Amino acid sequence: MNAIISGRSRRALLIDGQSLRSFELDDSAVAVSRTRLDLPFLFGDASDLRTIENATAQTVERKLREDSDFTLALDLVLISFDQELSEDLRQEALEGLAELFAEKTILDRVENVLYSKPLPEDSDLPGALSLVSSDQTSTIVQFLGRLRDYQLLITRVDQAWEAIPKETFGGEGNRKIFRVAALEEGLARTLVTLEASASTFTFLLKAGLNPSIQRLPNHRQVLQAWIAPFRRLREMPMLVSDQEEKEAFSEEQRFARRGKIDRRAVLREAVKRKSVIIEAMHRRDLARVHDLVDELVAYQQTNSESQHTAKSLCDLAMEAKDLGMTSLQLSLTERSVNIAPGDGWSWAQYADALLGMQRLTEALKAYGQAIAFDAGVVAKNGWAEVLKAQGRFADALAAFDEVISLYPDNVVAKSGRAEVLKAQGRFADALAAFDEVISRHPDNVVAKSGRAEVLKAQGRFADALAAFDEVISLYPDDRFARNGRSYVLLALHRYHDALDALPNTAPVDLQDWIAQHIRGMILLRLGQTVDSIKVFNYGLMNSPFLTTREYFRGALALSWLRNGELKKAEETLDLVTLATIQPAADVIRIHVFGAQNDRERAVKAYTNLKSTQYLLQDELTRELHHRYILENQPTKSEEWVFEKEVDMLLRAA
Amino acid sequence: MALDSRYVTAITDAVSRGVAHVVQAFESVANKSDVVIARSEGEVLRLATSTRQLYATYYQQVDSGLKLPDGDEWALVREVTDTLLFPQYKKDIRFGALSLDGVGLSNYGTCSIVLKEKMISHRASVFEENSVLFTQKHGLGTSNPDLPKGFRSAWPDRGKLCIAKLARGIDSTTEPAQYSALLLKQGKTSADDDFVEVHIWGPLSILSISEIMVRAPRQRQRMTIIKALRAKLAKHGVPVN
Repeated sequence: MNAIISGRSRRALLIDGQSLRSFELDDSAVAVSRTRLDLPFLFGDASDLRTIENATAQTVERKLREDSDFTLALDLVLISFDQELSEDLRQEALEGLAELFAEKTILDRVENVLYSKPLPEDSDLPGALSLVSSDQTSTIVQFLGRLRDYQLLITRVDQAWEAIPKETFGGEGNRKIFRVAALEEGLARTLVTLEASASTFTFLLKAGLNPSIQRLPNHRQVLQAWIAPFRRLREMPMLVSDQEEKEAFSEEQRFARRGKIDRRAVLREAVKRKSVIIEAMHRRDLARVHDLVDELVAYQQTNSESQHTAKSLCDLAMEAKDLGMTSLQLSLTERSVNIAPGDGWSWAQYADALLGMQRLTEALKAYGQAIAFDAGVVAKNGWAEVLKAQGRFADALAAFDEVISLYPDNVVAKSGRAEVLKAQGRFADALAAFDEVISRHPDNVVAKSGRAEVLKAQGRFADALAAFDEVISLYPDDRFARNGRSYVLLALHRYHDALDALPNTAPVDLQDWIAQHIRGMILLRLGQTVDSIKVFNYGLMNSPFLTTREYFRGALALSWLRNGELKKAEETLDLVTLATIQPAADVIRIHVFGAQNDRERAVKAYTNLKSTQYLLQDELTRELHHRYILENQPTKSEEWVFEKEVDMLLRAA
Repeated sequence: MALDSRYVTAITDAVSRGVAHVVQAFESVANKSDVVIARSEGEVLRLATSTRQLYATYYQQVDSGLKLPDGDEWALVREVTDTLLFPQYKKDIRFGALSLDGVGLSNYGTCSIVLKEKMISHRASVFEENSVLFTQKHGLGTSNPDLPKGFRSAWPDRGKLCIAKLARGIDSTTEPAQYSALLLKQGKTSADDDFVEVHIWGPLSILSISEIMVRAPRQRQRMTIIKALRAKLAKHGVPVN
């Protein structure tokens, strides 16, 4: 027998020769005889009809139940992402979803749909995540976490699909049919999650062997076109720099022709393989990256020493870091440490990956190992950076001072020290520290930009603009300085100038995401609060860089506050963890708690500022203290407070 | 006019049976009847959220665009498909039923969507009964395409059509409380439903809805959908009862 079923209308039509019968899911025991004239009315407006061939009535019922549960699960997911709905209801939807996901098929099918298109801007995935328990093993937490983490890849896979010419399918009709089949077979999901399953080649093979896909016209051409962007060779950067050439030469000298192994050839081969891996990283083909890394490790372990393998892994990890692929960076360095546990450089790189993921206690421990294994100044500076990230500014300062006493010309340590002074609010000292670095290293762009950042943090926006302009005149391509300048232009209310300086492409690297943050801040200040919320939400969900996510979070909290949604502002602020943004968040907390008449928590937020005296003296803090802690009448307007709160975030950014 | 003729015949018959006052009372109520469309809660959620990108994006993904497989077993269904009865024919026409209590044909779903008269009166017509069954009863088809006259009315004349169809079932014992079931009789199956069909041309949106009547579903998660519906529609001033 054949059947047509609709999970949405919870109804099936059984077709057995000339006999037509239908049944309802809630009453499957009663099959009603039908004539063909009934058919138009059987399924209402349901558009999820599908056919089942050569099945028994029991199979049809089972599939109908599965379709109905799938439809229900999809509705519940969308409800849970809907910020227009109450939290109680969204939570109830997530609880219901957890029950439906007990059936793995339902979870798979929902993911097939959700991985086929990036989340629209009006979806609130972070909100849904905040409503579930923190139990990382729960199906729902993992489901939401995966969906968040894969958004960038989902977007790319979707863009690649949309870019396939209609003619490749053999017309629009065939394109629609292919889309339905691809969705049912979860092809987009497979492509997105290749990291865990297979390479693009394996994807092609599996998809090509799938009978549902095989029967579609031009399926091979379509699949090839779909994966093309993930295979296409990018224009490769110069992989072998002068420095690498030198390193290669010195390594060749160190390990010159021992036994019968041609060390020079091994090194050349390793460099070649690394370049192929980096190319795979650029196209985010993680499965391929892992395969190639396995091969590289096997090759180097056979033909070279462990520390060479570890060095290759660390080189790749640095590339991953630049691309915002923090998980990959961590896994590569972890592997490096396992292969060469006595290699200080590997420990330092591993610690850097942990720092990037804000796993600060582990990072400190790993830097400790790096120092013990003689990784030198890099590890010591890293150690101080972790202390700074932990908010232990006095310890960080002492650590940088120690490095400077040992390595008086180390610019990284000196700039790091100046950054700590800035974080402490000791702006005059920070300026002096940067000035000193600049006087001894006039070409150091980091110190020059750092100095401009201090001026920005002081709220001396005109001076900061001049400083950034100077950096950009010397280094026109310095995107850090360009973004810093845009922040300042925004603070000076020169919105169009700020916007003009921002890229119009989809964010990929760190500076792109910072630009996205600036864009959201401009919208916020222009009064387009709903749009700013969308931008910040999007950044929070999609940025692979943990630090930028924290800045998106802070800005999102301010947007909620501006929108009068105090509870949401409070909950968003609760999730801010980055030490460098915490003081600014505390100032906003005074406002959020105070406005909710929660004086106790407002006082606590105010008390937290005791380690950042400059913020205690700030006119915004004083006004909020006056209003919500001393419970006096406001002395400033709401607009004034909002302006100052935006400025505070810009200064902290 | 064929409908007027049927109406006069029905009234004349009522007068002769001494029940004209009951028939007139029913007509005045029928003149105020609503059009109701019954759907599942999921379909109503889809309608209520059609303007939200979040829902529209993923609902669009699961639209199957049904294509029947090749093979003789499907010939019967394909014939219906080919005559545009299923499902594309609904592209421009929506089907509802007249109702006095806001409850639609439960065979088509647990939610009854009551439409706002001012949003549909200019684009709705009313038909004697399930038009497909009517076609079947009268042997209509490509060889006999002429629809008998007098079984269809414009929206404002729906009371007249109701009298033409139902007056014979009214007697002196018919109470106002029975009017609802007289106008719309729920069958055990959709083939047994008896109702006055309404054809509405053009799309429906949340703005077309006056209220929703729901029958509580058994599955707990489906109740969550109803709650979401209630919250969504409340923003548009549409009660869910």
